[in-house]
Amino acid sequence: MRNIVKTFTTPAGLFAALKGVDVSFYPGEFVGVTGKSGSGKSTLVNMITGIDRPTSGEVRVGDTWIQHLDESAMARLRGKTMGIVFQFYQLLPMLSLLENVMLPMDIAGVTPPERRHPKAMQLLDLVGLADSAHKMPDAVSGGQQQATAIARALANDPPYLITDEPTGNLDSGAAENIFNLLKQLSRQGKTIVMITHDPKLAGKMDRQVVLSDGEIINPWVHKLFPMLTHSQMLFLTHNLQQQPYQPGETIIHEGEFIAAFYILSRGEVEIAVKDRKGEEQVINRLSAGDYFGEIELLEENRAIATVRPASGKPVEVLAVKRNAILEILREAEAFYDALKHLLLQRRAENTAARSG
Amino acid sequence: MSMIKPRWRKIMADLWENKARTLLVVLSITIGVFAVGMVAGAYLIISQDLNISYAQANPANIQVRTDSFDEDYVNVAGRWRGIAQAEARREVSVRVLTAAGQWDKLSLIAIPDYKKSQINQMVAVSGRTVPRRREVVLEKKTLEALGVQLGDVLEIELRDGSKQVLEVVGVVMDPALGYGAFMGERSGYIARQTLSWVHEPELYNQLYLTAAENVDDRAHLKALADSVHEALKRDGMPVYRFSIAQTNFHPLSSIVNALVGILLLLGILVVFLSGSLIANTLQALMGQQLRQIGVMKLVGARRRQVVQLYLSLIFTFSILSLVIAIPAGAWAAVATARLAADLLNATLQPHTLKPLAVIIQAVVAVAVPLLAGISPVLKGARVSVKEAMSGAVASTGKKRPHLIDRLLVNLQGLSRVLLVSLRNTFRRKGRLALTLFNLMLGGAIFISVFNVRATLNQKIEDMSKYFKADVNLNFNQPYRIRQVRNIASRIEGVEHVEGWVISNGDLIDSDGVVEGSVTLFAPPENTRLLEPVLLAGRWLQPGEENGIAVNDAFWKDHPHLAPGDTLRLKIAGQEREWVVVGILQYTGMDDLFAYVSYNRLSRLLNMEGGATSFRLVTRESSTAFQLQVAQEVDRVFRDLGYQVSKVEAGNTLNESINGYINILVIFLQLLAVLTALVGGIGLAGTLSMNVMERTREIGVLRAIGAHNRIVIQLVLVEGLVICLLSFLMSVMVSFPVTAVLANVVSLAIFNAHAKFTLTPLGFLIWFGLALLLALGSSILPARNASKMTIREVLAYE
Repeated sequence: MRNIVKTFTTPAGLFAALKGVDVSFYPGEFVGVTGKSGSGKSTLVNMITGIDRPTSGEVRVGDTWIQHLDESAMARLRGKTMGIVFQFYQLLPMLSLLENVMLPMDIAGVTPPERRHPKAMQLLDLVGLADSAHKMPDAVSGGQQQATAIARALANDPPYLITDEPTGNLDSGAAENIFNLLKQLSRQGKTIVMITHDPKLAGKMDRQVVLSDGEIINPWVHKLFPMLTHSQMLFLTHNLQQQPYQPGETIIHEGEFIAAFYILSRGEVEIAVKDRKGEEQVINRLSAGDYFGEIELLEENRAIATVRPASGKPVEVLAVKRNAILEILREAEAFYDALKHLLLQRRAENTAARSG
Repeated sequence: MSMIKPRWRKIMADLWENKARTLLVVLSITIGVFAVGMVAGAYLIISQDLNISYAQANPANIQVRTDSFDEDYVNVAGRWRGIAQAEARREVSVRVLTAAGQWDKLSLIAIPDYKKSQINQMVAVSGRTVPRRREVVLEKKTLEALGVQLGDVLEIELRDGSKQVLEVVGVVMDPALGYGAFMGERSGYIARQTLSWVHEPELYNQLYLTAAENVDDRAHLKALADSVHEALKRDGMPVYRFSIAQTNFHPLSSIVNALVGILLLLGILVVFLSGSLIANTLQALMGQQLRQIGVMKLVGARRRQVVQLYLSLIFTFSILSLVIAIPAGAWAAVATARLAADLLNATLQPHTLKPLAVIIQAVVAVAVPLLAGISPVLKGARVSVKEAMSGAVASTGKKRPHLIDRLLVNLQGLSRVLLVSLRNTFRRKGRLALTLFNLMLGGAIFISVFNVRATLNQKIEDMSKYFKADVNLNFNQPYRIRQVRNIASRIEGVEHVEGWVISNGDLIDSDGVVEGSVTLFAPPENTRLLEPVLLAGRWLQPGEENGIAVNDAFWKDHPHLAPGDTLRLKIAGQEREWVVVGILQYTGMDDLFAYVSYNRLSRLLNMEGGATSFRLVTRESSTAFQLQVAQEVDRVFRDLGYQVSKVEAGNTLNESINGYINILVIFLQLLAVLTALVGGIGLAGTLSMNVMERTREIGVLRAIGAHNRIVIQLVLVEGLVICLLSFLMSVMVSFPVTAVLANVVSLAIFNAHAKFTLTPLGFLIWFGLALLLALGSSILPARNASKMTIREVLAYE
């Protein structure tokens, strides 16, 4: 999805549900889409399924750019390439579970007619409902209806499975079964995109796309600073600057003035200080997901160590401007405490190295 | 600005924001109320005005056709006991050249003094009403039939074969024409002085009498007629024809009233159909309003107030319908009455709106929707706030699934998409039942109208079995049959010739009094031109000289007449006994007809081996061919010096009657179309309501890949299933409906029960129409459904 903007006209004026979102989902990935109510999760997923159209921007599913397809063509594409699972199951009440699963096959016409019944039975078996195949939806539990909905979504063996809180309406046991089923499908190579409110479930997925106010929070920010609110994370995301460094270049020179805080997003860096003899000692190595610059930020204005790419490989850092991070620190006490804690730890290491 | 109470504002908003639904409901009420207004209005106008118009003409209560008499005898007749007025006419049969260049029959009626004439008064249409010498005033229908205009000069051929001309100086309408209008008689009015111009004596052959009292009492008139008959006999005057008529009853009023009565019945049916449609729509409306009812209850509305609110909504629908239906119905009523008046030669009183019709319309418009809507409104208003807000009315426990549902669940081997359509069709069984009922009745009536038409045609065909000739050739004097046959057979196109003797006889009762005049037909023994339809007994056998087969009109005065009974007839002054052998189903008109042996009748009339009336069979029986041969026959015999009185194509009479029957059928069809229309609106309403309720399912189907064709198919199949089901039901119901309708119409027109005739035409047309209705009323909802985006439909919850 490239630069997706979606605005709705409401009685109160224009409302931007998505503000230029870029995101990709890769084969075999199990991705959670999270965010608070109204953050744009459903709108984002609707852009993939073609249930809704972007105001601007482009969406590609497989090899097809879908933003210009009409409803009917979109439905055909959906029938063959995507399985959709809704929060409220949405089984057709006048069809049995088996018939519900066979319906997409009848519509898409890909599976030969004589294969449809055995295939639907196989799918119901997969979700543990082979015995209830001939029951009507209102005769089975919510969990069983949702399992049927998943079987239905798999009817045409689509590469993508798009699910909107499939476990939101289920008890914990049923929810876990459904989740495990999805996980198993992802291991078999299906790309699964799942909207969820449940952070525990989201944590179990390969990746999370977190939305706030129609924008995606930088995954590093979300991962590293869970103590921040979504709007603070978004604020940080807005103030991130991606900076690549080649081997031999220096990110920070000891003693120089620094005006940023860094998150290492790719590669390894080494932290070096000069000892009493004036010789440079590497005191630490940081890898992707680590951050640095907190001591300079909180206590001193000048770098207390040199930071440069390690292992002769290029690195990438996300730099947050000093003023921006200070603004967050003023609001978020837990963030301040976390940084302070790290600062004390690192300072101890630094002191030990210099004296050593 | 005055404040409108919020709940009334809600009504207005409900009406305005759901324009399609408002239109649907208002239209369905309007159609029913319009139909009732039209038929009731027409009925009221026709039933009153037809008789008023007839009475205003001061029709003769007794009309006698006799031999020549003068004005002195008229004065004598005027003094007979019980007689108020007496007038004389001379009726002269001539032939007239039509604008199309063909010879047609025309009765010239000479009235002694137009200024003083009071009986059978004419209504002026255009030109002068009083003709002078060598002038003629034509009856309106005759003018139209002849295709001539005011100021034209008519060429006429007199009985002696000579030709004369008359100028058309005026057009009048004869409201007393009665059956004449129905049978297509042609008449023109001339001055007494013109009689010599048409080679006739200035004497009269018709006596018109009005009764001094009890002008509407048939028994009194009959007694009076008997005494008139006696007086004529005493004075040595022969009676050729005798008829009685009440003053305030148009001769056709009973037929017309019966027919309009049928239309009224159908109109009421349309109202009931629209009632069921209203019930359906209101039920859906209440379903949609559930949440709003919840909100109203939440803010303190009591059940009574909710009921009041929705009944006001229904009342508003009624008022809107009345605004359209009253003027439209009144207009259609007057138009219908005008058409009928024109056909029956009646004048209407100047009025447009019949208060009673409006009252009936108002009652129907208010009562039917109210009755139809009260149950859904009460049910809707009963829901609790919780139920209303959650959108689900608590079900009354687990019910055993309906038989149809169980059957549908067991339906195997169909595509799931088809299954969805089929099972959807039967989801709202009440709504489906009402829709099916609507379409079924509309269809049954529609089909029946065609069957009734076929039945009536069959009836005419049965009647024409007595008049099977392609060309009728009549002479003023008898000619040898063999001679005429030889000449006629040589004319191109003539294949068969029969000579018939036709004469009048008097039916004499046991006291020796003349009861009435009988037209006697004596066909040759081996006639090919008669296929009698027997109600009792048998046909005449060869050599059976004293046998007589009579028509069913004899039953009117002799209800117990049966084969084996004896009748006494006076023919050419001789009284003879005849043994009834059979009773024939005939036209059902009052005139007495009978069939007797040629040998005996020709002997009585002294014309053995001869005849005055000849019936010809031509190679083709198309009207055009018949007319062509008739003209040739006319020319050939005249050229040979024969005294031809009339040559007529056989189809002429049938076509005239057919014309009237077609008009009746058109009215019936109009009603059938109205019922079909209500059915169609019902179907459209049902389908769009179904689609509306299935929005979410359509969204789900879209989500799992249903493209436009599938979504459209889903809705279309449902429409088609309903259409097919209703068609099958219509076919079944059409049989009893045809039987009843055909009988009522046949009894009214022919005074005889109908012989049930079916035609595939009605079934086929209705099938096509039902299919179109189903497709037509499904396409819009189907297109709308296919246009809905999933986001919209999932937001519908």
